[in-house]
Amino acid sequence: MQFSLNWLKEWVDIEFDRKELAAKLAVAGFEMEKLTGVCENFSGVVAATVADAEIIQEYPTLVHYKLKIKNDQLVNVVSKFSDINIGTNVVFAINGTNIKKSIVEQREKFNILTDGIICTAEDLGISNNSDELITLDNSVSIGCDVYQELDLDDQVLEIDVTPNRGDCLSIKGMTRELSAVLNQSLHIPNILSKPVQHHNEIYNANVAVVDVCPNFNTRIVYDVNNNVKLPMQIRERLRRSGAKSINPIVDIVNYTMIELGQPMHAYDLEKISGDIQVRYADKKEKLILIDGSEVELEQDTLVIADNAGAIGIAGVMGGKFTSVINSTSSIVLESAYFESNKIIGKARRYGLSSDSSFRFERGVCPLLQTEALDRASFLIASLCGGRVGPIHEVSNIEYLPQPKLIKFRHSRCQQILGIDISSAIIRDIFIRLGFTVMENNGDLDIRVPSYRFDINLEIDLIEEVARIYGYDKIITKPSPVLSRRSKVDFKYSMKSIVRNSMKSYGYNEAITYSFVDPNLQIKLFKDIPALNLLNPISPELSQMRLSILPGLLQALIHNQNRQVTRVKLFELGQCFIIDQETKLKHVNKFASIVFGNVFEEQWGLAARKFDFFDLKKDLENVLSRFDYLDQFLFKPISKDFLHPGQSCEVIYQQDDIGYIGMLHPQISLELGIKEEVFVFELLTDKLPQISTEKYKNMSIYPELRRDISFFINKDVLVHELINEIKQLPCLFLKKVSIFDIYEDPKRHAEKSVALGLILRDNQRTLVDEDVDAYLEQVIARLEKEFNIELRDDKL
Amino acid sequence: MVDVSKILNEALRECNDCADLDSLDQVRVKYLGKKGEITSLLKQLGKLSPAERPRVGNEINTAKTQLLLSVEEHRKILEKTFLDQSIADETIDVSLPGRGNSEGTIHPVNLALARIEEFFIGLGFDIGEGPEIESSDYNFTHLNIPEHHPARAMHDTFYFDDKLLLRTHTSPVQIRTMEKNKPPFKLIAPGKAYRCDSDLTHTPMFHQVEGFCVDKNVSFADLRSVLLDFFQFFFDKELELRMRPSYFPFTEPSAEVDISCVKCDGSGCRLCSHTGWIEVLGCGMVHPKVLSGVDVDPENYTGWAFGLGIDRLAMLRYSIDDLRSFFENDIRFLEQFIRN
Repeated sequence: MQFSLNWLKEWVDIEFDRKELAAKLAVAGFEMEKLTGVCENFSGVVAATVADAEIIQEYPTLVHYKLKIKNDQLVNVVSKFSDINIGTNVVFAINGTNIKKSIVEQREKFNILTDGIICTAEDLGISNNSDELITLDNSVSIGCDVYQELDLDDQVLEIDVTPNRGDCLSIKGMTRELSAVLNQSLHIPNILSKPVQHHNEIYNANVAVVDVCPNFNTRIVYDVNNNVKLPMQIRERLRRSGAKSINPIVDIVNYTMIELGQPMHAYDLEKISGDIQVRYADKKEKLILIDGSEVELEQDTLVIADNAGAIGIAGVMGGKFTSVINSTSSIVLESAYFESNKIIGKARRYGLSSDSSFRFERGVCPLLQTEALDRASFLIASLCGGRVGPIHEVSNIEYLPQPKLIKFRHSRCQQILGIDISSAIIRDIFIRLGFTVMENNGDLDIRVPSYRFDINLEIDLIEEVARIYGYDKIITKPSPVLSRRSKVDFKYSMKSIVRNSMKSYGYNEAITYSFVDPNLQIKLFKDIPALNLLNPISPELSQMRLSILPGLLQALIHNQNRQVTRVKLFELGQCFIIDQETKLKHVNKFASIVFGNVFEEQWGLAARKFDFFDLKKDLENVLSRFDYLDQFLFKPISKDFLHPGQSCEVIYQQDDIGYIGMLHPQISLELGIKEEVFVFELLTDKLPQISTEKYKNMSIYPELRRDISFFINKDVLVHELINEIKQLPCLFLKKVSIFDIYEDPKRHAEKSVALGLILRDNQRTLVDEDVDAYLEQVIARLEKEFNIELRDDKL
Repeated sequence: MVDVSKILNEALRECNDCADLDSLDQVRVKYLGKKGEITSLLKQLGKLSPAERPRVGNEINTAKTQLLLSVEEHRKILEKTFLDQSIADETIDVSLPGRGNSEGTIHPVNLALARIEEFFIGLGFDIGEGPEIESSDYNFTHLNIPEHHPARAMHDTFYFDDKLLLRTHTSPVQIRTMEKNKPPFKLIAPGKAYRCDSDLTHTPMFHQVEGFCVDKNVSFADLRSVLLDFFQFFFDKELELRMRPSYFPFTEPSAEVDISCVKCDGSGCRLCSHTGWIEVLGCGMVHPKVLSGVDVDPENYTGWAFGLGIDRLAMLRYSIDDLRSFFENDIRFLEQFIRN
């Protein structure tokens, strides 16, 4: 909310510098967002009255004015404003005056020597509109200093008012709050004079919904002049409060709202037909609003209507047809109380926002309606003329919010705040805030003012005590130490293990957006349904990720575009899957992506590109932190987005827990990625809880080793070979190592495999006879199962 | 009879002339081997008269011992020479960098998170997490933000449909945790949150830590002391803490917390917009309605809760000035966080 600081000062003393004011507001719960001067300081700009005007023949859009300044002195100006009447008071800046950071200079225009200029709002720096002529009230004394006259040493104070404090959205409300916070008394200006009543006519109003509109006040004002220029002070205050000027009646209604906090509406009397009704909208009822837009109303929307239909959305915005325009001569003013629950959400639903709905949604004091109506009609009568009628009240007090009486326990306050605040201080705080305090058996009964919609429970009162007492005085106690240990779940330790492992293997952790480009996602996961945001920030960030891969690919491309030749990234995070029953599942994943050179460029290692096995080793290293590596199976698979010959799934206890492979070259091509890309992704929820390692005694007997090497059909997986060997009962086989894989170009259907069998017994030293028999069994088994052909050159 | 001393002298000379271990060994074999010259002298002893035998025998044995000693001595000299030589040859340029791959890095947001977790684990807090796609019930209603409440509009929520949304804060974890368990609660729940807002100071995705503590006799004053300890731990320095009243529907009293600017220590700089303060979190006492909504008796139990922006803390700690760089994943950005 934007306030004129001088306007506030009219109600309460505020004598602080910027920093103090910000701090005072901050500790009371209001953030000072801005404090800016209304304009740059200047002097020597004075009020002048137009004495003579003559169109310049050579240049008919310019007018030569003679202005009268003090002591009846006449000065010459040339102005682009061609329609300033003689007798109008304008703002004159004499040559040599410093405004707008430049100096007004004498000009010779069409044989006229100018003495200065007639200032626009832009010249004074109070607006950006260079077409806005400033005209002063008739009451100003000619020659007076305009800076003083227009109150231009004012500042605009912007305060962030939290949505629970609707009561502070006015000069009256904010100063009431400030008086409590600053502990200063209010000096309310005399604005509450009632207008003189000229006639007795009222406009019939039928309120069909007294429960949600218990106060509906109207008043007829006949014969207004809606073409007058409002006094500069009102226009300036509106401007400084951020309100646009529409026409005098509307401006006065807005002015009153800013001053007192009551949104009101003015209707053109001649355009309303029949009684005014307050009711819910009819099915598909339509209304063209002041801003020209047409809305189709829903039946839960409260409207003001006449015989022809809705003429406004209650508390939100009026209709265009019945709105007050310059030619309007008679008006019906409305000042009502609507229950906030009936107004909340309506403006938003119709894509509207208004000062009125902003206030009604947050709660408007139910006792304010007639006061505001009087204030507005008084201003209208005195500024626009017109004949004022009586207030027509349709009031159903029983539906108004009832005064709230809340019990306040001193002990509870101490329990919540952790400190003991004396009851005298507590009492004083409540009284400063305008609450009524009553004793009740050692506790207090607090009556809450009608405008405090945010105070409903004892806890709300406790907060008020804490707030006015000062949060900073609620002093530090030693931290509470509950005698219990942290329960840190597996997800936490899993993440830190993965992060630290990957860091040590030289990977950089990435964090990518959880929403991705659907075009990229569909390229990777063709037929998998994904969730789309209704209101994405951009189409490229509109679909929830099924996998971390799209994000990592984006990051890789980002880096490739910046001449990065080597990428090793990983990421952990939630992904979002829709299962067969179209139920949403959150799946925790861990993925990695590599491309480019295996090693950073260096002197001691030949440059080489990443391949499948470089990434697989890192994956195996991570997996081995969770269970023995032989518990994980790597099984060839075919996935659309992976190279069919270089990809596999990772199986753990019969469960598919992830994949590793080369990104399909076709996809790399489409994405413009210039190197082979290798990726893996794991479902981290399926990783086992880490069990504590159990030490096994080392054998004190020496090991024996037997190597075999052979040709075998290329399609046989080495893993199957080793499994076959392990099937043979043998107590002393400790390990099978694969020490060479070789493909002879002359035998392209085959590959040569060299295995080392590591043998050792825990009870005795093995002798050749033990192992020779075993080795023959192994060879026989492999010959039978896989038709291997031993290579004698190695044996 | 041959002259033993002559042979010995000849042998010693040859021994000393040896330039390498091989020739030294040849000298040893030539004189002391099975068929060596001194060995054969011993074999010829039988041909001497019994009177001469002891003397000559003694003389030969002395020569043999002396030669053996010399050979051994010379071997050591040669070995030393060769070792010295090869050590000299093996000198490398130790200023060359080591071979292999460098350490990787952990994302600065998660580095900051690790510090946060370290602190709160030390205080006995559990660590939990919750789903990022939430129902409006958990994100709003159960947190005392009924439908159409103005506070909902302030959240700039990403929606999937009327009911399903991306959580706008980590506070739903409070509800999920309290629903399933019995007090006391001491938990932090880090995670991602989302708002459809994207500018210099907002990214549509960000990281928060929800923290809450519900027990008997937990008060607003405790909250202050925990937070002060936390920020001093996190930033490794003494700093001041200011609590300003604020409004969150799910806490009462509510506060925004500022710390004295970590850059200028409160004297005013660009980072703190010359206020001396930096806003770091929102907190308050858990609203009684929130507690009773999850069947915790608010008369018996009180508690505080806070929501902490991790990204902002990471920016402050590592002097990162552009929030958006967190999610671009530029290697040149990521690889800077190696020491942490």
